[in-house]
Amino acid sequence: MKNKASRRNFIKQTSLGLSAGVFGISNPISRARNDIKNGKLPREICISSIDLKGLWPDTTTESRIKRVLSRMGEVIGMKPDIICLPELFSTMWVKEKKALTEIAEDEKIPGMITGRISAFAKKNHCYVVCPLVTKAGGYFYNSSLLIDRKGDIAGAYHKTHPVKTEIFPNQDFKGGGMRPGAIDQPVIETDFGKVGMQISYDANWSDGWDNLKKKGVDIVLFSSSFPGGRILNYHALKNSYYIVSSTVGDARIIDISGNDLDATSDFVRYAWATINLDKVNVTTWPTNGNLPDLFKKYGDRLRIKVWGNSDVITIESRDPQLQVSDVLKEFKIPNYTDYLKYETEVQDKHRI
Amino acid sequence: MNSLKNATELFLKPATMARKVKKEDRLPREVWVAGISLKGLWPVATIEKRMNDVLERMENVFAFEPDIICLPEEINQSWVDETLTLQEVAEDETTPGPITSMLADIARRQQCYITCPIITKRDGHFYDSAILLNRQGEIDGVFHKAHPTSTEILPNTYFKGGGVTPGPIKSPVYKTDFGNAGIQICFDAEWSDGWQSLKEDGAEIVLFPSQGPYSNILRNHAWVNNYYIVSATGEDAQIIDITGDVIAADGEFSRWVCAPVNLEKKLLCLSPHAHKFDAIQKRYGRRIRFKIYHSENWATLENLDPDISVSDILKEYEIPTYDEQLREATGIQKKYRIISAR
Repeated sequence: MKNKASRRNFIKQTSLGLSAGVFGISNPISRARNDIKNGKLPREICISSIDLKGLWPDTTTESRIKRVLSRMGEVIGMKPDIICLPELFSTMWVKEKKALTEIAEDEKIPGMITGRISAFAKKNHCYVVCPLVTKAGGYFYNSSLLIDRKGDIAGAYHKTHPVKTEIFPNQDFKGGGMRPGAIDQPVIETDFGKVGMQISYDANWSDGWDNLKKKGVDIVLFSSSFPGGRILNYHALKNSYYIVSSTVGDARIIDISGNDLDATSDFVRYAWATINLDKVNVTTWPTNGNLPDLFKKYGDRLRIKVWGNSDVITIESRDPQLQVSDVLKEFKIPNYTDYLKYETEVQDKHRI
Repeated sequence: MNSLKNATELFLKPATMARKVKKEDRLPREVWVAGISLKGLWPVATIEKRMNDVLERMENVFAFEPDIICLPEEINQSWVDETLTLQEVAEDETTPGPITSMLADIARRQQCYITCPIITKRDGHFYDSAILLNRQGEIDGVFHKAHPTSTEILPNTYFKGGGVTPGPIKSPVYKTDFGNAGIQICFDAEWSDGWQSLKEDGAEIVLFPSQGPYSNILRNHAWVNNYYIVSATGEDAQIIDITGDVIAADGEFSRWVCAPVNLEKKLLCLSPHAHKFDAIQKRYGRRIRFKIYHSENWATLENLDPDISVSDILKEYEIPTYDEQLREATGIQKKYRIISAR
């Protein structure tokens, strides 16, 4: 009854692909990949994050900032392109209570908190996500400011879904309450790609995450008071982007396949990973049919991983001369999103 | 009260040692669900051999007196060498054909529901379907796969003699005698629409016949929609909790799963209600069970005593469910969001 395009072939071919990956079928071209300039691929970056575990409760904002800067110093050895900090890192679970008007900072001109982080960013030539209370247009927001390598404010994100105790005046905050940010907020262009931000309770809604996907972000920076767990893995897989989380309990780097790449531990309170933005998710079926030929032609110039747990295959270039988009074009493999788009069109056309 | 505990003990023993669990011991909303994996049964030469193999595997779960058994997609066709046209294999959706009759007979004898995934024909169109058979062996409903692959749709690509038509996105939720059940099939896992529609219509369990396993994708659908999922695929069989945790999974030594799920279980937000949990636990002791999910800021609460109602406890302690809390939060956020930013 069936022709050859079946899941049976899928299993067989995938097994072959995995074996080839494990044993590293090589060819002359693959051995040339050592010429990567500066030891980095064109779209390879180092992303990092710290958590707040062990730093709370704290007595004063000043004390907290100093301790956070010290922890940030630990990850500098990795030469990160970006460091993500936890939600309201300078005031979260700090005994010293100040009114919103005292702690809120401007979104254009660095204030007391932003100034310290900006100086760190400039000195270490990296981007930093600086979460704090900001004031704009007469309203307070639970925000994340993105500080660039020069120490300038590159953009701001307002938490879209604050909890009600943050919104209602004089509950979580003295002297007022927060406004929820817009559902649709701009993404920020960095020198390595597009980034978006989300904060804490936002994890429970899909709208902001979906908007970031539509705008083509490569990485979402998640600052939070709770870790997020599987909720973040879900958003990463669903939207095929990296997520860097920085929370009071842990910090993680999550792959586009939805799997953790690194996480903080009892002995190391920062997470980091070198990631390649020239990496895509494709569907396991029918891409599995191309795996033997891909391995045969490109060997270790490509890193192909079949994720059985999430039903995706990730393909990334390990050769500066090779772009994944060109390989997909050559083998007529659509990326995950394009494939489902095509399938949806066929279904809609034939649905009664 | 004790059957959930007994069930836990059973999973620690080899499947061959499974013993009958008395139905009268079950909690009011305790449902025993089973999934049969097709792993190791393919490829196979004929439909007859396939069905014999499947029936033999199904016998393993009968001792548990399951309320429902889920079978893999196109149970009589997936990876069967015998080549027939769609016209030859498609069965009617109201008058049981050979496969439906065979499984209906089992449903009747075992007094359980069965999902019977086969190709059906209606109004001149073929569908990749799952027929829901009730305990009397009658057809309670038919689900049409909403998202077949393009190769299944386009004639003579995957199937001989035609192609299948995609079913509607919004599919019915079936009112069974144990609760509300929905069905999704295989490639449907890649879209959210059907799963979301089932949640909106009150599904408590979703049956998932499939060729591919879709492991984490299913786990995500389960917690996003707060319902149980029972999968039966070409590769595995799993029972997934409303939190996305795997309750039971098949393996090398038993290619089937059967376990109880408690439809009285609710998903809650830890914050800001966690401070009430100790008092509730002290009051009800072993008659309830909290499970805390620190990373996700979740908790689940279920009853272990037929005389306890989770809804009553939540009401008494003014704890909303996860969905209720997010609904309220969304309303407040909308009210306070600056108009230009909405």
